[in-house]
Amino acid sequence: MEFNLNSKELEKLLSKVIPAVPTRTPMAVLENFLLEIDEGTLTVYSTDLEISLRTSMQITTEEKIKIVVPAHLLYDVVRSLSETQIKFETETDSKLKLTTDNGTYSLGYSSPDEFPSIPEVTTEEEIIINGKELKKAIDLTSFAISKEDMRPAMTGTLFEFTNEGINFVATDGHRLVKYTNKKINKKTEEQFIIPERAINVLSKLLTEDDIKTKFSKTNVSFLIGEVEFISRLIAEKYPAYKSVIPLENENELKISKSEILSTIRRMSLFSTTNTKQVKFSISENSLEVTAEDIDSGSSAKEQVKCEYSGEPIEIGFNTTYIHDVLTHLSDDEIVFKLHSSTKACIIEPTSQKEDEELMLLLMPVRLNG
Amino acid sequence: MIRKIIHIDMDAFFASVEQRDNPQYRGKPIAVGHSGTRGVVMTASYEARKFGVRSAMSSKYALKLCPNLIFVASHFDVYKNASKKMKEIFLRYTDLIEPISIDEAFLDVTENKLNISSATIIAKKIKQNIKDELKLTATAGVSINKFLAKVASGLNKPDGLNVIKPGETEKFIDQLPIKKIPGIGKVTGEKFENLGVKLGKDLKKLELQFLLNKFGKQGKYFYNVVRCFDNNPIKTNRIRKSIGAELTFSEDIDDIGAMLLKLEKIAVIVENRMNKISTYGKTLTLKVKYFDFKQITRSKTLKEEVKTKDELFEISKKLFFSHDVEKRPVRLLGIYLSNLTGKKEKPKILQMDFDF
Repeated sequence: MEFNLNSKELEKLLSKVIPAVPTRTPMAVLENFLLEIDEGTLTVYSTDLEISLRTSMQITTEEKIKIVVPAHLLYDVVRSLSETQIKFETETDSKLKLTTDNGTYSLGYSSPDEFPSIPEVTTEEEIIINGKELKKAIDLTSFAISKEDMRPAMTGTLFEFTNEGINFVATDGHRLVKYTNKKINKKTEEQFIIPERAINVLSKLLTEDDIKTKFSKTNVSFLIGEVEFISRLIAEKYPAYKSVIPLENENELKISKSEILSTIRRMSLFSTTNTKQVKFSISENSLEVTAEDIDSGSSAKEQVKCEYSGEPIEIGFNTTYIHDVLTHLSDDEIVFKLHSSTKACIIEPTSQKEDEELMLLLMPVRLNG
Repeated sequence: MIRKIIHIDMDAFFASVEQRDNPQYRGKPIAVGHSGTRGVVMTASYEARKFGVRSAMSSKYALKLCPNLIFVASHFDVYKNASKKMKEIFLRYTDLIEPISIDEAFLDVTENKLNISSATIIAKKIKQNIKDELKLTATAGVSINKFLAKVASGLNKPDGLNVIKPGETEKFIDQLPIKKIPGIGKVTGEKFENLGVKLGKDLKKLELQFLLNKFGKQGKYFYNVVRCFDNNPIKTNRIRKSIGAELTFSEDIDDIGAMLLKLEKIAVIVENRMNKISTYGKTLTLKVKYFDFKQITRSKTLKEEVKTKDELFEISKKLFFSHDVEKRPVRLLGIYLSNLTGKKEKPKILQMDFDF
């Protein structure tokens, strides 16, 4: 077998599929790319059994071949080359020989028998999602995905199709984000949970173009230009998140996001490393934010401009969590909807955009004493 | 500098101790272990080994091979005491001692307390000390690294002494049947056999990339050992690496529900053991041995230490249900924690959770 490829084109191709190659795996074969050449098309596959990637390009050759080659070695050598022609040849002793102006590189290849088959999503319904909008949904929600395995459903992002668009939901049990995009619709109301790793890889692959999405019971497929990205779905029931969204939070604290965020940043310098607690003391048109580190005896207090007409409330938050929540709001005018010091607090932009809705929910820290 | 490493391996340790302490067992095929239908042989005396009786073999099968086999109950306090005395003997020669198990250790005698330049002489002296003071025999292997010393001691037991001299290592490895390499058991051995690899020199011909593709991380080890790239130092303070428990069942269990109940029971034992020494681990390993003795392990590393029986159970359950764990009758289940961390101040949990 013999064919030629431009190094930069190949680098671009491989960069699309390298994310699914696992770095640590008991199945050594997964550290390879599956290369298939058939009818003048070179197709490269990678998988870690959870996510799989496939992409292809046209090449000039009549040959037909299917081999597995060490993924990182191939990718690393190709991307370290400056733009040049690479001649590919397979040799009889299971070697893939790459020849460039610089020299030759020989990579051991093996038969594709042990390489797992890539799942296919054959569902007919195809949902078109704009890449930019999906990226936005991921950027807004993925930070809240749980890193703990105790509740597997929470280790992914919920894609919930309803009659009024799609809800993207992520939570780790302490904070929750729900982002609704009313323009994305599916014929049936259904829920799918996409694992965090898939979300991260997807986020890097997305462009501004439309992507074609298909869901089966077990897998999801995203067709992004020439790249097909398939992920296993988390086969669990997502927590009944709607039941924890409070309906009776009538105490509204209107505040500037940039101001409260900069206050929180200073408070985090003073809050005890163990508890990371910051306290909001709220009364009519007054917000006092305090933090202290009992161990070192240091403390801080700030008054923050606000609008508030409800009952006086004292409520504590974890500085990291509230910081994360605030940095994911793009509008400056925001509102904290409160009930009491032990109930979840809703944080939202004061006005929602057309066809969109963003809501963040944060559980407080129990104030001691 | 060329190192001088000795590997000391006690001969049929538990069985020899029993024969030493109970004259009626001397010269007879005995097995330390339980004779019940589900028992296993822990150690067999050399008289029993002639019949093919081996460690970890089921007692039932051992009796089939050797109908006159005498089963002897174990006395761990006696073995531990003998092991302690062995260490005292080693300490006369060097402080660089790496105990591998109760009856096995590596010694680095490159520099030693008696300034004896020959490691072979030291090995002879240690063997004699063990014979005189413990009335037991040991086999010693002497060479330039741990791998070769261990292989050397495995060559002729009992009461053996084998030396692989610095100039002979290459020739020795070339002729070494690869099944003698620690880490190459039945399965890996067969894989190599299929590749036409029988001796060290055959293994040497294989390239690193090929071995990595075929065997993963272990491939690198195989590549290195046949080239004598083993500079692993003697680790004197081997610290506890894992906590865990396993249960062998009196009958194979084929009901998933019953398996889960056993896992829960094991989780309770592990929790108690962890609490006793206030040590917790982040990596949980589930061990499953099927009725046909095929054994698998599956591990999961968490961000935080696993501390409670509920967490132990939940994670083991999850591992158990992963798709690549076969659901077949099991004879043993175990849960182990590694990646251990000691006692730590636990911050008061004040962060509240959603109620779902």
